[in-house]
Amino acid sequence: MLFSSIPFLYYFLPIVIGLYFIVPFKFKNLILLVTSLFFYFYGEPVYVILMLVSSFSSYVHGLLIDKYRGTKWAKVLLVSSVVTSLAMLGFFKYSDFFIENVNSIFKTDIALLGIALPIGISFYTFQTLSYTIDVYRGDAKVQRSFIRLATYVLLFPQLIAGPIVRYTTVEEDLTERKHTLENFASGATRFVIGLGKKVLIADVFYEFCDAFRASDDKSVVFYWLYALAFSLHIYFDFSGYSDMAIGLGRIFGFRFLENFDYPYISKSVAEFWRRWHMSLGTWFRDYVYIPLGGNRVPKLRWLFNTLVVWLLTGLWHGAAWTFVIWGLYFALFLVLEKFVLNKFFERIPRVFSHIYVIVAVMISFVVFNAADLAEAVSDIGGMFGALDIPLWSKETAYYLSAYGLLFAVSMIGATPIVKNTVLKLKETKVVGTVINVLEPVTVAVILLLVTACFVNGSFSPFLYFRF
Amino acid sequence: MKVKNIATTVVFLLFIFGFFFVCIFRTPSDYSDSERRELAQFPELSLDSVISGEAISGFDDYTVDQFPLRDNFRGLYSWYRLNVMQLKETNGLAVKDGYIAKVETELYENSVNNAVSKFNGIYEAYLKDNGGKTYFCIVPDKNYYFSDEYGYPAMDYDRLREMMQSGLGEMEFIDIFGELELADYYKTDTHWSQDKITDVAELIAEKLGVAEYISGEYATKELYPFYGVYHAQTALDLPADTIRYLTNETLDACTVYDYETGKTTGIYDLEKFNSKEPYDVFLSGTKALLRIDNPNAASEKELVVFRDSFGSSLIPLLAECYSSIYIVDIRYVASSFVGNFIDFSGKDTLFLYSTLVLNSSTSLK
Repeated sequence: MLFSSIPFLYYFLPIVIGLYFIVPFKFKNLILLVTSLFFYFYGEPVYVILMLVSSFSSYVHGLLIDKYRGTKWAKVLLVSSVVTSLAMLGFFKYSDFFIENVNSIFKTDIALLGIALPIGISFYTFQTLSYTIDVYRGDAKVQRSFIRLATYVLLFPQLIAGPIVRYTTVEEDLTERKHTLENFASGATRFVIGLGKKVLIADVFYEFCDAFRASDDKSVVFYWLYALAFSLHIYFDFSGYSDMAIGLGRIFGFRFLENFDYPYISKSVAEFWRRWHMSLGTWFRDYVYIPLGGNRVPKLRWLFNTLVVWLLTGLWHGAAWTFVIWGLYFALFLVLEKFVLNKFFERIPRVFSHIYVIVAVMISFVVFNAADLAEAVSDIGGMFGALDIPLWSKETAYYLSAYGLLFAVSMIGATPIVKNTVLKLKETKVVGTVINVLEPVTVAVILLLVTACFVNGSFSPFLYFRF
Repeated sequence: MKVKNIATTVVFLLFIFGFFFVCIFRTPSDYSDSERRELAQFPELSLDSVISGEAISGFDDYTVDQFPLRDNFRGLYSWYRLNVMQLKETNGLAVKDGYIAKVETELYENSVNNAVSKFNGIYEAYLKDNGGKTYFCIVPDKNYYFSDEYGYPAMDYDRLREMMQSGLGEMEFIDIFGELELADYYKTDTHWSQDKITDVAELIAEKLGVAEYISGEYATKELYPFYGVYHAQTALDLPADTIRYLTNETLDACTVYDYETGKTTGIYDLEKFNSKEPYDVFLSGTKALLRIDNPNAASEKELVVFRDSFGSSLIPLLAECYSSIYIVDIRYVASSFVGNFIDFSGKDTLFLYSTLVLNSSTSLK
């Protein structure tokens, strides 16, 4: 089920909120679990079983790891847990990619399995992995209630597009959490703002990208506008989803960690990745990069560690060579920054390092969104004048003027300017009161507008559903 | 702070619970007058339909179609896009000075080639040796003029014309692109206004060699209000158009025979003005095969017209010139069957198609 849809907003959500706040605390997790199962079943009636199997596997592995703690069996069980989770992910997500490459390399003709990707499998697999690893490491207490553990894995706010919530983050909330008016109001506001980011901004950029693809009158500038539009689309789409997840979590008393921190204001690619999809970055840091030795190793080993992490990061996003290249592209920048660029950028005005990050990230998202490597090469060629197209065209002018306001608003919205201004203004009593009055009004206006978009039938799935 | 939290919570809950209860308890509508279409109903539930996802997608459609205040929300959507976000289109339609135009920028060459192939097939089957002449005329859609007037993108009309001309080498091309302007089209509809296309009719008649029979004298009658198909799609509160139709004694005396129903009517079917498609007043709208008989014709000539809906308002203006005009819409009858109803011997033939249909010709049979 999509958050940005009438069935979710005006059927599912009121029913869940109604049931949740009516029942006594001891049944609240059960309500969340059952409704989360329905939430997933609504979009993936068959794969709901897979998700339950995944949860049960990590539940049993967790119990056994705890039982055999301190013995060699604990490690065996951890390996078993990791292999089980990764095998499921590998089979459902990567088998056709693997077969395609085998066929291509060995000139074989092995039939593709044609398995539909279970929605959110990359997210919930990483959550179950983090649970068993943390139990093994002693960072988390084993969860003896299957309902509680399944509630953590299947919790609908973050089930299908993140953020990747660590078990340790919500461990306490699963057994004891506060439901306050403030939490509800701030959660509702955060959810509605996320909904607005997704529906009123990201989806409109999606239209721009579609129009670009359909255009017969492309130009170099049009290619750059497309790169910018897609970069803004993916940011507002994904950070909007994260806002909705965090907001919904807060309504139900859960405290999820932030997933985005204005990544487009970064001054280096390394900083960008500390601000973009933070839950994924920290996951790879804690469960792959540091176990490999992190950066406290010789240069060559560090290079290897970096390549492994970014190869996996690329592959996590999708089973295609474009994603592999996309991941390694960032590895290249991280290496360059460490050895060359950081020193260089220290000596020149900051604005140039900002421009460098924006351009590097825009190009990366062009690769990310390409259907295949050939299209990625062609798109980048278009950006740098390698195609037989003019610098400017009539359609470029049209689309720039049509979407100009959206570009301006969203570029400002992608920075902390608005947030900081509001916080600053709130310090003044009178203006603070006005802002407090405006908050529920803003919630109402956004709800009206997104409902209008739903009713018009103009919405698109979240981009990160495919991961 | 507490008041703000209460207000925000109340607003949020009012929205989701308010619409939830209205959605649950309102009686579903069958039909949307403004959108001119049937609305989705609650899907049938079965294990198979749920597992296959059919019931779920059906429920999605149902919730969207049956949402309370649907037309108001659709209007809000268009208003927000055009006036707040300053986007230039809503639902693929542009709105300027009351004119609504479909912004179609992509020329589907496969579709144009398909139309060429279909027309050539008809030519080979019926017209090659029939002793008459064959003509084709392309009706530019509104965006040809709208895009020029307001700086919107448009499909490559020159390429479309070039493809049609080179593909239909056996037929004589009648170019009417220079005879029209934006004001000749309805503001809220895709079609042209009959009172604005008399010069187009005269040009075609001249090319067909029958211009001498056109009187050029008509009484103009009006039907108001006419909300065209684009009006419904934008859902904006825009002024209505007026349908103006032209008539005279000769046209009044003409009869229209519908091969499908066997009924005979007049050229203008005024009852249709109150139907779901008011433009259907012209030749009763979408019909597979019609014949206009002119009892007062000064000529014994007969004409066959293969046409789309633009022909409905133009063909009556040619009625004075012929004793009979056979009107074929191969979107509703297979071209291979047409020979069973029409004897093409000695008749001139005109293919009259809009760029909209040529660029989306899969419906041609």
